[in-house]
Amino acid sequence: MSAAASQKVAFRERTTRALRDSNLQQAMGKARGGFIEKRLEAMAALPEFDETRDAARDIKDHVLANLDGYLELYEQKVIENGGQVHWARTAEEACQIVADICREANAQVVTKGKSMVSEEMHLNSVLEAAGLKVVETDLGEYIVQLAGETPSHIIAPAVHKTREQITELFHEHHSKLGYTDRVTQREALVNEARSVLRGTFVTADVGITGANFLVAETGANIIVTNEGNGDLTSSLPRVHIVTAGIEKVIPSLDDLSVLLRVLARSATGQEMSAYTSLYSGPRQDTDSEGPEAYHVVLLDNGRSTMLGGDYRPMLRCIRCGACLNHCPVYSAIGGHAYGWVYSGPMGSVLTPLLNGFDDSVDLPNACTLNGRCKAVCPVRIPLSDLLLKHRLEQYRRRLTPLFGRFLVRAWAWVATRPRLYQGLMALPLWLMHRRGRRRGALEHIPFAGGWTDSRDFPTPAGRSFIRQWHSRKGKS
Amino acid sequence: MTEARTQILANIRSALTGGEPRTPLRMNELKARIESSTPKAQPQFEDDLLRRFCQKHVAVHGTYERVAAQDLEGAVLRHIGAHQVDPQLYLGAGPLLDAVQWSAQVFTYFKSADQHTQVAVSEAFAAIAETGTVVLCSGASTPTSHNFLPEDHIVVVDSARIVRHQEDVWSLLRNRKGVAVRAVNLITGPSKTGDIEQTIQYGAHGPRRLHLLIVESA
Repeated sequence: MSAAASQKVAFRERTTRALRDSNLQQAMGKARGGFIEKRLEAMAALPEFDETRDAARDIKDHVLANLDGYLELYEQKVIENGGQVHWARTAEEACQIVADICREANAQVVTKGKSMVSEEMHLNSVLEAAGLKVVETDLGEYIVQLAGETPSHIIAPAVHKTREQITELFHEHHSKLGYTDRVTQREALVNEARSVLRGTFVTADVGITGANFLVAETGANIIVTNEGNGDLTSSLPRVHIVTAGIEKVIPSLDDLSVLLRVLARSATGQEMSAYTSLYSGPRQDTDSEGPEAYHVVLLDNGRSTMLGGDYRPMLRCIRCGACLNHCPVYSAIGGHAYGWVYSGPMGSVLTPLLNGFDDSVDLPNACTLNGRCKAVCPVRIPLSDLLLKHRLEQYRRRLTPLFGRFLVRAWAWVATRPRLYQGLMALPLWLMHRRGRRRGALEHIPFAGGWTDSRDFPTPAGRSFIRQWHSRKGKS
Repeated sequence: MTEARTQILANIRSALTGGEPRTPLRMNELKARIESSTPKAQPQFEDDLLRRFCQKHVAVHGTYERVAAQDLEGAVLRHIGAHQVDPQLYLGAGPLLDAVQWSAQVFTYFKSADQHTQVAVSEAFAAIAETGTVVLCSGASTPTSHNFLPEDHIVVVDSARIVRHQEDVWSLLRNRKGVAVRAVNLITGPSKTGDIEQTIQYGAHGPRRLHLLIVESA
């Protein structure tokens, strides 16, 4: 389903569909746990991990507090290196800039390294409409492109696909290229994609990548991959375009090292990804190869507005995906149910900020507030607190259902009158205690079917804690 | 274009300071922070850098051989012989590599790699003990394509160039003479992907094998 189409369907319906999708459930079941275990191992091997997370948070906070200055310093360096910097207020402006660069370069084939910002821009559809052939080169992105879908995870775009589905996709799209055998083994699938994409890498006119970081000290964009596709995309075509959000800039290479130490560990549990590369401009006179032109497109798209409010910490995000991997809701429904490019806890915070509540009013509520996202975040973004803040904002702006708001107010009215509350609770507590005494649990509770459908409610004590406390105090 | 730039920067300033203009003083402070930048929160580990480097390199599926400088050709031939690859080498450059006298049976190319390139032999600018990483810099005779297009990437490492932490590489780069390097590649193990069933498969788009020849300086 295209992103635009999926937005028109309500979140609840997408969730129900995801829970009933057996392929999705099979794929998510295989992924579950792996990321969490690997991250734990990586943490155990680095006693300084928490100290490094603090340092990473401080660097990001410092940059955000001085963002205008660092962006200007970064821009100066890129220009000194012979590159060009373009500024885009909106996704549309950014797409226009990229399309213009491609047109001026007389480009026909564009290769892309994985870039979440370009997903945010819906860049591929704009370039395709301009007559360009656009090929995603990250294996996961390539798979979802063949399927006509969008990524369902920041760092594992095809996490929702089973091997059988990938076999069918490759067979459907590669047979016409002469790969007529239906390959089913992982190694063979990877080899087939490698072989098909090799030809595209060497013939592409323009390569578009994202940036994990932009370093003001040298004007370099940093790209971190395991496959090497980002490097082939950056190095081989005539033109290299980097698309990045304005919050990606960092001061120095020493700051980069701190952030890299938490990035790969949080994302995949690696100490270093296979390839971490610094590209700082077009080829120089002494170089025998490399792109003739180097462009950076800096995208705002609502970020500068976020800077002023309570949600500034969200701009610290380095897109590692740890909060997705640790979220029980994400792990049950997958990324597409969230309706936009960013999913999981970070997506539920970010999407309403960048797109408004119109299509995302349910996202902050699809959260159990277990706080794991906040606990694992490498730059210590208080994700669950920010989700709660969204809920409060929705309540204030009367975006939550009328009946629900009435219930909350009624409950608050009673709960702030302790004697009344105690009195009202006494009878239901006693009844529940009597009914569930023997089993120790209740299978049904009136008006709470939604809760007890999938689990039992532990039998409460016959009298509330406060009442017991008072009677014991009386005895002593 | 310039309008977008002006507006974005103005938005940022108004969000941060309520719209105060940027002062030269503040810009100088930021520049000073960059120039006086120092490493933060570095991991501590054992003193034997060569041992640590080898361990970490093997942990990411790399292979290596410790060789004498005069045995470099032999070591290259041993590796490609073991994997039955033709002795057609795309050569990079470096103090150790430049000194090798290749025998007549070896074909050497001093040009960019292409999609048919099987083997490239490079010399690392530096190596990092912390993570088992080799560092390669682009230049006139060290094309970046050598690091990513071949099936086999053989990298010569001078053990004296193994530094402790990643930040030590930045110091080496800052002190390097000549023009700034366009591309710096930090390579930790061969190419891999986990995109199918979240299970690691080697040889995604880059080299399937990363073999190091570590030369211990006298």
